[in-house]
Amino acid sequence: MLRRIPPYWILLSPGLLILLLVFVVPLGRLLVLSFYRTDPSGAMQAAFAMEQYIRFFSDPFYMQMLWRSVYIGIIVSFVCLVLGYSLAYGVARARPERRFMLLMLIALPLLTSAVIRNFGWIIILGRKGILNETLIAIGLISQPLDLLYTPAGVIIALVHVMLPYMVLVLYSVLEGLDRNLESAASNLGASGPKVFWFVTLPLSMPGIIAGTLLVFSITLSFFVTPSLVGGAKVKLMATEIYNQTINMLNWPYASAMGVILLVTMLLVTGLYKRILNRRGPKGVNLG
Amino acid sequence: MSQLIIQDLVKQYGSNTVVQNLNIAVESGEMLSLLGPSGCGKTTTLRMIAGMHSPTSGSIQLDGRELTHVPPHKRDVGLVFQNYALFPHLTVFENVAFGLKRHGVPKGEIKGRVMGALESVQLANLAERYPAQMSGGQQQRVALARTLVLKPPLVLFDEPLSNLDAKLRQALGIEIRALQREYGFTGIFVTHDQEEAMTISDRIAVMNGGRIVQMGTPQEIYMHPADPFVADFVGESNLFPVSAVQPAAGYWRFELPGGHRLSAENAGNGPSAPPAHAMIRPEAVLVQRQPQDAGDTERQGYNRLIGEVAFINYTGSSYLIGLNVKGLDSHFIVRMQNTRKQFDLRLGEAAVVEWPIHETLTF
Repeated sequence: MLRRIPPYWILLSPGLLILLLVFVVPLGRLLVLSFYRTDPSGAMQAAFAMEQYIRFFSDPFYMQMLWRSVYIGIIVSFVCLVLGYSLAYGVARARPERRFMLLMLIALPLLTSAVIRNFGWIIILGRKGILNETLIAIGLISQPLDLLYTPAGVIIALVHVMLPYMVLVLYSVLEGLDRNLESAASNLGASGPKVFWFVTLPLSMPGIIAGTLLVFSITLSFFVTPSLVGGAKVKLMATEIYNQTINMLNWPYASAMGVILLVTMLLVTGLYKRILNRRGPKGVNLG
Repeated sequence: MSQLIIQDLVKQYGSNTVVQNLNIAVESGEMLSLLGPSGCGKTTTLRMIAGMHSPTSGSIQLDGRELTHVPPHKRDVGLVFQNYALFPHLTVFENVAFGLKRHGVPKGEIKGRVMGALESVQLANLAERYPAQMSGGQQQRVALARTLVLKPPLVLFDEPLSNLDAKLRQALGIEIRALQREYGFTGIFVTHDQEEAMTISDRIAVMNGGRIVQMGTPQEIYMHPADPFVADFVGESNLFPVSAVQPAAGYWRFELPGGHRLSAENAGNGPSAPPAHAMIRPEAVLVQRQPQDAGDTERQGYNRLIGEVAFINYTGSSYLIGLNVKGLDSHFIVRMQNTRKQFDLRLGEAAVVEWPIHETLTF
């Protein structure tokens, strides 16, 4: 007689199988590769050595690149949070029949091809681009700003594509927020800003955490926008991993960088959740 | 002196008038219910008093202070919600302390006042819990404490008992009245449940279509409803259209559909406008099996109908009996106390109902 398989395994298995094949196996392969050696000719040798990691951590060039990736990730997450919160709040408070249209408008950057979107930014941000020409024409600046191929330009373009993720996550939380809670707070004597600070903001923490983590981790691994808008001048982990894989053909080193990026991401998000959870009350699950 | 005075209050959404020329004066320490079906404007009125909606025109005054354009957080008007609206991220203690902190009450004073308020709703031992860890009844008592700790002169109740089961609803209703005596606030209680309105309030304002159709004590509303709407909405009733109305000395005589002849007292004592509806309360009626030898002998001073028993609902303390009476669209219902005597009505058999003429109300 067959042993009965618990039904949840049947429900889990298709997803688990896909994750195993396209995620766990390649990731394991990546980890193994990262311990290989690269001999002087550039060929890789199977080994279990720390060579690649030592190379990374002893070179300030790469350490700076890691730091640049992290801080661009943090800035993009923060800017998306500030811009996205008011957008999401606005949509959640709009008339129900308008919300769908507003959400579609907000999701529009996601529906545009990455190539078109980024070439658009190149046209806008260049020294003779639309933005600089306009600012000079209205007399706000006399010299063009350096935006294209700078971290600032990369941040602008990344915020553009990441904002919809943030808004969608925040919207789902704010939309489910009981408006009576805000009414109750104001009835108990809280002015508008205090209602926001003591009620709306703490209750939207799950969305804030989920949204920033999502944007941060996607940003850190985002490759197309930094390589097109940042070019060779703004070197980030993702673009350099690409470079090492495709141009330098140094797969062990690219693998090690991939592992380092992944561990960094896990460390930063873990630390972030810890800080917020310590400050949050235990009655509410903050994600 | 009247504490809360509402004058000519109007609320319009576009061309839709939700509240029409409302005038209410609530006495100090009184509990007034706004009773009506959903969409009658009662909740909109309450929210205008709380400042969550602004009126299209009219004024709201509390103890002579014009409230109409005061923002909600400066009104000192308490509000208790149907869904409790406790802050889920704060403990019971912090929920009750919320208003005190916003009002700048010194820290040293907060603890004593919060615990005092929690004691008056018997929840002092649960101060460290979170709302999600409590039952509905407990949550609503926390909400009461959270409002009352600020000692507002006026407390608004927005269907606060609707989410609770029947037993709890009754218990909490009694508790709200006790709290009113303890704290001495003036109350406005919005509900669509007429029984709740009758038990909890000193006076009831019955609302329909954005207007007050009748205002009075529970007894006045029940015994002397102003129109068929109130008669039908408040309590159980037998309400029928009447025709062939003839005035007699001190009486109206008329026919129900089906040609049944009835009489009612003419309260105005003289022919005024002839009535169009008659209403009889089910508990004012006596019902019995039709005797075998029944001639159609009508008792002096009584109305009488004959019908067939269509249903008998036993509720323990009473029976609700429905009769099919020839010509009537709906059942004629009778509420009969369980007197512990043998119950001899049977489904499908004929029965006689009788009630004193003065129990026939006309509109």
